[in-house]
Amino acid sequence: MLRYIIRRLLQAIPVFIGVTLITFILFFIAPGDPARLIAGQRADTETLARIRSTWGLDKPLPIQYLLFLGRIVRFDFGRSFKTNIPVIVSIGERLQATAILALFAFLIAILIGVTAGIISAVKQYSIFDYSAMVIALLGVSAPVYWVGIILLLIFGFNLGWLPLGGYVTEYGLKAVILPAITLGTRPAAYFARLSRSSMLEVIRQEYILTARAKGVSERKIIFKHALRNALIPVVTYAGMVVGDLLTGAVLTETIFAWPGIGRLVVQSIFDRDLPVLQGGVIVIAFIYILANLVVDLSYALIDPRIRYE
Amino acid sequence: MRKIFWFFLLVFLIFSMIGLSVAQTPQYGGVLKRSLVNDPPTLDPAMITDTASDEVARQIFDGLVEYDPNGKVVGSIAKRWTISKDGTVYTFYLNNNVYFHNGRNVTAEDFVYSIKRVMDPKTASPRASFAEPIKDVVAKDKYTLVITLKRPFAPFLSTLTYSCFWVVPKEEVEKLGKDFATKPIGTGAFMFDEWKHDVKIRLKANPNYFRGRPYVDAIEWVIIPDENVDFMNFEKGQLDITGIPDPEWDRVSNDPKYKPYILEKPIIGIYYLGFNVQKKPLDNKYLRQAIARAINKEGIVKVIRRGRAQVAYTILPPSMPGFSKENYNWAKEKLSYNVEEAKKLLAKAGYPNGKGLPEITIYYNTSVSHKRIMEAIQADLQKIGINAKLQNYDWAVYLDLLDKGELPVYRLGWVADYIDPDNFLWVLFNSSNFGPEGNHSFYKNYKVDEYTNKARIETLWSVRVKYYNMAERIILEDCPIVPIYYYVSQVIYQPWVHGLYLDPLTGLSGVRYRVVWMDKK
Repeated sequence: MLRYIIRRLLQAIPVFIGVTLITFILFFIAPGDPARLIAGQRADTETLARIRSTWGLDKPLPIQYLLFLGRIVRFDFGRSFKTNIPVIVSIGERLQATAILALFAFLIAILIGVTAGIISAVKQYSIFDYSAMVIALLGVSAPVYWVGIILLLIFGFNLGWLPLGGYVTEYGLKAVILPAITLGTRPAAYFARLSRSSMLEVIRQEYILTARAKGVSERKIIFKHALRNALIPVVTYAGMVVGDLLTGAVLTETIFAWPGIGRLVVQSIFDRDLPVLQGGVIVIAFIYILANLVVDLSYALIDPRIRYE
Repeated sequence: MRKIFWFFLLVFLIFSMIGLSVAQTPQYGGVLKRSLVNDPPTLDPAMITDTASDEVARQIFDGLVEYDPNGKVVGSIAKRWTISKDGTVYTFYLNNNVYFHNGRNVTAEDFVYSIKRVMDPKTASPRASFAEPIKDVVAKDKYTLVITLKRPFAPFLSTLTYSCFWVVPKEEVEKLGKDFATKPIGTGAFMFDEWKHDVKIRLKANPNYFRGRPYVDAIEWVIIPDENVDFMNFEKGQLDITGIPDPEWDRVSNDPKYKPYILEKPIIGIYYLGFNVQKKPLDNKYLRQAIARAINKEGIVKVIRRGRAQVAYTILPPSMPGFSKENYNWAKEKLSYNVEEAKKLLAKAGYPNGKGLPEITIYYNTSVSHKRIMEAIQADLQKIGINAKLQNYDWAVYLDLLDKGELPVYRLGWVADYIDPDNFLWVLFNSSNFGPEGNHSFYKNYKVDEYTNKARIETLWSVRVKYYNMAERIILEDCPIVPIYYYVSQVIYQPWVHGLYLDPLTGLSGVRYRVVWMDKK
C-alpha cells in the first residue's frame, strides 16, 4: 500500500511540470503585458521597462521558466506581480477559506444527496421518489448565481437570520451556511441521482434476492449488502466533487464575498499575475492528484476484493 | 392670551434651534463602514494606480498639498509655498507638528526620501513619470523643502496632490521592504490597524493627527465583489456609504426614504469612442465626423445610463478649469446627434449612404454596460448606412491591442490624474504620447502639439487657457474621439452620516474621511 502511495505521488512530478509548462506557454501566447497592467491605463515606455526588469519579464522565456522551476524546488512561489505579497501566503490564506467552504458544501451534498438517493431507490415510484428526483433535477439545473442571491434575499435580507455574505472571521460559522448550501446544491442533486440509480442496480441483483429469500431483514439487506456495492460509483464521483470544491467556486465566492482560491486564481488570469496563476495551478493539480489517490485507496475499504500492488 | 401664545412659540423656537444645533454639532465615535469591490493591490503610495488602493491609502498618508472639495490646491503638510518667477523652483514650508504613526516628526528630509524613492528605478514605481519633471529635491533646512524642475511645468503643483508624492518614513520602508505595501505607516488621520485579505481592511483614528483627531474611531472596508449584495448590505444598515447599482437606481432615486441621502457630483472624466486616425478608413475626418453626428448620446445617457451621467460634447469636462463654454456650444451645434447631417458628412467622406464603406469593427473591453452602449452606437450607425460589428476582449488583451494601434474604433474612459487641462489634452492628443502613454488615437496635429507643449511651460493661467481652448477646438473638429458622456459620481449614505462630500476629481474614492462624523455609534 505504502509503495503504491509513493509511486502515485512520484507520478505527480511530471504532471506538475506539464501543467506549469502549459500555463507558462499559454500565458505568454495570450496577448496582454503584465507590466502594462501593473502600470495602469497610461504608462511611459521607461516605466514599463523598469517594471519588466524588476519582475524579470525582460529575460528570455526559457530562462524565465527555468528560474521559476528553480524557485519551486525551494518551495518559493515568488511574489504576486499585482500585490507584491508572497504567493504562498496568498494561496495559504485562500486555501484555508476554500477548505472550510468545501468541507461544509461536501457534507451537505453527501448527506442530503446520498440519503435522498437511497430512500428514492428503496421506495421507487413513491411520492418521495418523485419529489426527490424533481428537486434533484431543479438542483442540477438552477444556476449557482440565482440560488445564491435567492438564499441571500430570503435568509439574509428578509428574515435577517444569516449574514449577507462575509467570512467566518467576522460572523463565525453562520457565515458558511448559505455559501455551503449554494455550492452543495448541485453536487447533492448529482449524488441523489447517482446513488438512486446505483442502488436500484444493486438491489435488483440475484444475491439481494437470495438474501430476501433467506429472510434477511430489509434493513440489513440495504445497509449491509446493497449499500457498500452501490457506493463505488458514488465514491468515484465524490473524489471529483472534492477536487472541484477545493479548487474554488468563483461564483459562490463572489456572491458571498468569500475569500477563496477560485476568485484569486481567476483574478490572476485577468491581471496577468503569473506567479499567483502558477502557484494556483500547482495547488489545484496537487488537490486533484490527492483526491484521486484518496478515492482509489477508499475503493479497497469499501470492497475488500480490491487490492493494490 | 396672545402674549402667552407668543411666549410659548418663542420658547419652542429656541428649543428647536438648540436641538438642531446639537444635531449638527460633529460628534466623535463610531466605526464608519464602507465596501470595496476588490482587495486593494497595494497601500504603498509609490505603487498605487487604482482607486481602491487610493481610497484607503488616502486616509493613511498626506502629501505636501491636496485638493479642497472645490478642487483648489491647498496646503496639507506644507503650510505655504513659493514658486520662482521662471517657474522652476518650488519652495515648501512645512508644518513642524506633523508626526508619522510611529511617533517620529516629519521633516523636509522625509519628502526628499519619498520623492527620490519614486524616481529611483529600483522602486519601479508605475508613477515614476510623474516625477520626470523634477531635476532635484533638497531639504534647505529641517522644515523647508526645495524642488527644482528641469524646465517649467505649469501643472506641477497639481501633480503633487497625486498619491506617489505622499510622504513615507524611510526607516519603516527599509525595515518592512516589500511588506510596507501591506503594513503602511504614514502621517494621516487614520492609522493602519488590520487587513484580512479579500475580507476587510480596518484603520483606526490617529489621536495625534496634526489637524486634530478624526471624528470616527475607525473605518472598515469590507470586500464585497457583487454590487447587488453590496446594496443589500447598505439597505440592512451594515454599510454607511456605498454606490448604487444600475438596476436599483430608478427605485432608490425615487424613494423619499433614500432621496435626501444621495450625493451626486460630476467628476473630471469622460467616456468616449476613439478612432485610430492612422488606420483606413478612419483616417478620413469626414467619416469620423459622420460617426460623431450619428451617435445619439442623449439617448445613451437617458436610456442606458438612466441619466447617471452628463452628455459630453467637449473633451474637457465642465468641472475642469479651462473648460470652454464656446467650444462646448460649437461642438453641440456642429457635432451633436443629427442623422441628416451625419448622412451628408458620410457622403462628403466619399461613402454616400455608406456605399463603398467596408464593415467597421467597434472594440470594447468586456463589460455588460460597455456592451449595451456599443450596441446602441452600432444601431445608430446602421441608421446612416454604416455597418458595424462589435468585438470585445478582456482588459489585458484590450490594452495590449490598443497600445499597438490595432483597434480602429474603440471605447475608452479617462479620469484625470490631476486637475489641469494638461492631463487631458496633452496626455491624450499630443503626438509624443502615442500608444501606452495615452494617445491611443495616434493623432498628430502640429498645432495641437505646439499649443499643448507651450501650455505646459507657460506659467500665466490666462495664456494657458487660450492655448488649451485653441487646441481643443482643433481636436474637436478633427474628431479623433467622440466624447459620449462626462462621468458623474453618485453615492448613497445613511441618515446618521454627516460631513460627507465628493472629491471633484474622482468622487468617493478621493474623499478624506477625517471630516465625516456619525450620530449613531
